Amino acid sequence: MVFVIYNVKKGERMQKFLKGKIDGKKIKEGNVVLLVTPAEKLIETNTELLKWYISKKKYNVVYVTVNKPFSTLIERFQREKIETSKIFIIDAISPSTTTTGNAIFIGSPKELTNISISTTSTIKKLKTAKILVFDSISTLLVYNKFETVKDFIHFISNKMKALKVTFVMTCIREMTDEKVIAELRAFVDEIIEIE
Amino acid sequence: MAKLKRKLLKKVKNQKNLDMSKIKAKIEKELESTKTLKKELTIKDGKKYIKTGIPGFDALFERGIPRGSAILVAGGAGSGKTIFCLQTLAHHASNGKKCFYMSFEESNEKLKNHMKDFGWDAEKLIKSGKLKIQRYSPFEISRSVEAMLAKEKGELLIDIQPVVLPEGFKPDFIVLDSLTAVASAFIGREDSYRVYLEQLFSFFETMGSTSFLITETKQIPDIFSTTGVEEFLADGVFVFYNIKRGNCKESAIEVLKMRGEKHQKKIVAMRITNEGIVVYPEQEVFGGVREEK
Repeated sequence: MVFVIYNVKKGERMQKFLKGKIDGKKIKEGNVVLLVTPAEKLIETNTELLKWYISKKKYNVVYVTVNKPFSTLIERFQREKIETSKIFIIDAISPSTTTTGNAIFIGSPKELTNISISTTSTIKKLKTAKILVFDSISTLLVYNKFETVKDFIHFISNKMKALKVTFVMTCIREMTDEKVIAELRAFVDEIIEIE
Repeated sequence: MAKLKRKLLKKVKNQKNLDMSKIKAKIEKELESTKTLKKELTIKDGKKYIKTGIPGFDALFERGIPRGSAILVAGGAGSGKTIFCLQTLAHHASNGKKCFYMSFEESNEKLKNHMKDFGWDAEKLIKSGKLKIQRYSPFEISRSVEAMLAKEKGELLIDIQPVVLPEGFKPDFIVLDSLTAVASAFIGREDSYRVYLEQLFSFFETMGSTSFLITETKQIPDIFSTTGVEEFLADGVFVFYNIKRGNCKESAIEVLKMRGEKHQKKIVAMRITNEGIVVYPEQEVFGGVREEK
């Protein structure tokens, strides 16, 4: 099943789309969603996604980043007036390996096993409504072989399904081979394509 | 349980200056430790199984480790072998079992400090008489083998044991750290080392103690001991992996063999935390354990 949105404008159509799909129960809890976006729209799309789930739906978000470091993300989210206390970041790109109140630093995007352990345990610890956002599969593929990434996605998807947690993974169109996207389709319940 | 309760009550009744709250606390503490010990020991078909107390690790077995087994703990430097063994001993010593750590490498002080780093009070366990740490020289062992060989030939009449345990101390759990250090004292005399190994495994079997024998291997091992004979003699082999991914390392563990017990047959994720080892029995290791070039 493919959902296509054309020219999502900031703060408007992406949220409208989410309202239609989520409130219309099309994206259910425990669904795995692949969000394919052009590179220049990745940050905006992610921000809109978080705004929707945190501000409108009052969800807690576990945000795994292999793209932008924790500090950059927090700055960005604060600027966009997103309630950052509702975001728990698993940062696999900053060189730091310490843990703060709402972040875990993994050390490297190559440490897929550690990313998986931290993600699963964080999701389990959060009591209220929650969603997992993975930013992004394209960057993960820069550091890891596709076969390994496929194992990782399959494992996390099954875990999230068992825990009834929606799992949204972003993918940058220009960075990702069509064949890879086609293979990823096999693992997901929905695909949102931003054009 | 009721019998134990009556026994404890009788014991405290005979004491003078009774403080009921203290007595109650004492009884509850003793009953609690009995419950813990029962949880530690599973009995099935007359066989007794023990747990290590390491979070996640015991879930790799259907029932546990058969009591009295000799287990090879194999892995590269820094893979968590010593921590695994110290954690198991700390757990059992805290639950009233007698534990003995034989070190052929590190000093007693270093090992005690190592335990302290993870929050295991070695001094307290030693004072309680439940834990003993003793340093040995591999060359002393090597010399005793000569005596053992002489005994076999009938040239000596006295019994020689492959290791000398502290007098009057019969441990439930023994750690030997490490077989690799022992083997180093036998360089050029590999046959004597094999004789020694046979004697050692047979000694541990007679003692009825559950033993953990550490061996140093490559980070991603193909063989799990110095000669390869050790893994055949042992009842169980636990392998620790230190996986290099770029500039980072990931840890994993595998129960390669456990005689007389069903166990998970895959390599699973492991972490060394501030509180010791944590094993994730359901977490597969992405990308395998082979080092990336």
